Amino acid sequence: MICPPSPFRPAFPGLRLEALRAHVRRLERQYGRVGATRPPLSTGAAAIDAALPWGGLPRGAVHEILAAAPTSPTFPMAHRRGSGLEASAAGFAAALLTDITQQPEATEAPLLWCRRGRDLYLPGLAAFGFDCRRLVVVRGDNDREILWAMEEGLRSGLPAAVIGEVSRLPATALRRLQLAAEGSGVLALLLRPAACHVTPGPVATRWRVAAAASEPRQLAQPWPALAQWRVELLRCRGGESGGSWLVKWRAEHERHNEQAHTGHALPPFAVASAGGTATDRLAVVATLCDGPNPAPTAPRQRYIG
Amino acid sequence: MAPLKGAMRLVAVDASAAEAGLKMGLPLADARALVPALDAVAADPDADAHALAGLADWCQRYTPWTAVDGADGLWLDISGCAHLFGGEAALLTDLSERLAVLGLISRAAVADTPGAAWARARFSSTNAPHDGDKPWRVVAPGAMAKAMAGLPTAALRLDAVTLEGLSRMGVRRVSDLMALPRGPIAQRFGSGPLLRLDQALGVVEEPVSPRRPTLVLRTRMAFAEPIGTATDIACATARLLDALCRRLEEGHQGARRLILTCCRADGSIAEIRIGTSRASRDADHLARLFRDKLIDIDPGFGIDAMLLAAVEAEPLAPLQGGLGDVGSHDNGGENIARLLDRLVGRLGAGRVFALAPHESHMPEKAQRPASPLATAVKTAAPTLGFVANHESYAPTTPRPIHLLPMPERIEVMAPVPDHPPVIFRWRRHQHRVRHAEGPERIGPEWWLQQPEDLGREGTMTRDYYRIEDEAGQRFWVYREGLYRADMQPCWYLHGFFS
Repeated sequence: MICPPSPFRPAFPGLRLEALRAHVRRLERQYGRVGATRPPLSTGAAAIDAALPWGGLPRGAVHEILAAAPTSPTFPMAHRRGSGLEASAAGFAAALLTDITQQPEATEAPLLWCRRGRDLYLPGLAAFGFDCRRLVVVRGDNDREILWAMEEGLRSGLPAAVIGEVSRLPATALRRLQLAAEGSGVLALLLRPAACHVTPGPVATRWRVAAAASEPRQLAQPWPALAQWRVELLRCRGGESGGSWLVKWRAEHERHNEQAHTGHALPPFAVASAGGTATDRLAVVATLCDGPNPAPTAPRQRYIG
Repeated sequence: MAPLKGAMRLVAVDASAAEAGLKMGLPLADARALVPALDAVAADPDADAHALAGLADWCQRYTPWTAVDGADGLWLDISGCAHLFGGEAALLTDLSERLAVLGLISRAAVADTPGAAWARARFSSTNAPHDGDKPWRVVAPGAMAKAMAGLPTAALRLDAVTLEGLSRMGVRRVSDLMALPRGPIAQRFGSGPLLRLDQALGVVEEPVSPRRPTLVLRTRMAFAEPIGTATDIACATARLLDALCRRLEEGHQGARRLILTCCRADGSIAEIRIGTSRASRDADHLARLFRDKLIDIDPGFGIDAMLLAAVEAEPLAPLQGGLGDVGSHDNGGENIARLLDRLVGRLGAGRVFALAPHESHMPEKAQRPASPLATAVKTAAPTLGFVANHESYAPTTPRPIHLLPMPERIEVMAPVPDHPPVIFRWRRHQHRVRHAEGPERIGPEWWLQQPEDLGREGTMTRDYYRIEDEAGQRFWVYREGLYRADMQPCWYLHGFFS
């Protein structure tokens, strides 16, 4: 086992206890065991939450969402820039953060969305119940500026969450983001384009999101589906990765209707065994691949050396 | 030299040329005959004007009120400034010494009126009698008549025709003009000469506009030795900010825009501007905004004076400092403002914004950038009216999450008259459509259009379809115009659903 470099060699022995305490606090924050001041952010689907050791996405950590091409034999060039594939990742991020924008505790906290292009469209975001009044868009010229803006936002501890779209991500930049997020307890979300190089680094979770074809038509539902994704959990620190789900966004009125009329009855395709409930924002259409152990009771101790 | 009256003539001569007998207005050929080794350069009035304007800015080290006068003069309003430099005479000495160091030959005078100062600077000779114990260049307060009396009439800034007429009447000196009855003069020459005389004597006010708006909230700092290191500049900026913030606090104001002017030793200036998203008088915060930009200052041969001015200030209620930590006594909104200021300071204005809905059916006009702080503040406080809750942002019909800034042409195979596409090709890549929903017809905003624009691109009805390709990717495409048998319809891709 590789141990982290020891910070406990201060000149004054009196400082030793303080250093130890700080280190323990940092470890606790990192692994989300105790002392997590703010509750983790629910992904919106109980089945996916159950697959995460924290019961949701922990704040104060970096989460990475990779855009991916839909797996289809007829999809010729899977990895191209500007292919519109990033829209799925952006939609998934908006769906995740909808909860954050509506929480009363974060009334004043803005949501920083650092990106390059000018194509972010507010009516499309608002469809996810995303409270756009809290959205602050930061437009950078290059990845360096975007990473700088993200770090600045994370360090200040003021935003409710910081989202960044970067294509090139050096390992040091990722490490800096992680430290900044850890220090302030702000959730950081990295959106990566389809053609990016995945940087190994200290991310809490890494997802791959691709658009998925709509299921057969249902009455009184928009069709083609508004948003339906194949979501894979590629990496999960302290938990088991490998889960893969087919999820679908359910608008607020749909959730209300289902609750009011049929108690818990979901559309037949929302597999009840996967743990879906009527209040889920994301309906799990199918569990493509369960993680080896969907709900580990205690996260396995691991170090990054 | 410049072409003048049909010949290349000298328009300016330096000291050594003047000694050799050359004069302004002399044809170049004659001048060459007198001094064969003459080094003549073509006149560049634009560059001269530019340099003069730069010099006027440089003179802001003495007073905020500087103006360019004609092609060769400057006016400085030193009311209430002279004591900072040890009196008017000391100020003039300092000014002319510094100009001499820059290689400029200058003549300057101080008087109660711009006219008198102008006249004394140009027409008094150095051997004129001393005015009490002050040098000849300083006209004592109220002594304009005495100072002007001995000067030629040209000192009144009159045009050539008037001067010619006056000299034909035998009026050569200002004292001659003062002695004459005013009526006949006004009858003969119009109000010009008398107005100039009255202005010079201070009987009539002469309004002169400064080159730049004068700023009340302004602090300055001069250095005994020119400074050049980044640390020194940052230190000086911090001290200037402290002084300015104290004044802002006294006036219950906060700065929105600040300009830091550095006067270099070689007479040029460097400026940096910063802006804040909310009025602020926190020296630490403002210093932080300046810090990123101080690197851009090129100190050249050193900076010998720095000025800091609040160009725009807003009322800001006084805040009570916290007991524990003095640095962070502001509320949350203020802190967000600081974060945004830092982002704007580094990335540039217009790079940090909120998106606000706009009432328009055209998809590309349905949102517009807004001030991020305005929306953040609205969120904090209960909102009124249009943006009452997030539902008002949400459209009734599906909209894409990414909207292309410019719709892109696609090649489409679609049944006529108005069916959704079956196959389309975008960026050399073919998509086979599996599902489609539509059309959603969006008409042009005819009430905003000019009649002659009708039928042009972008002014036609659009039929939008939400389509899903075989792989599951969802697009937003539209066909422009209604179906016409004689025309191939144009299809565009406008956005991506998630």
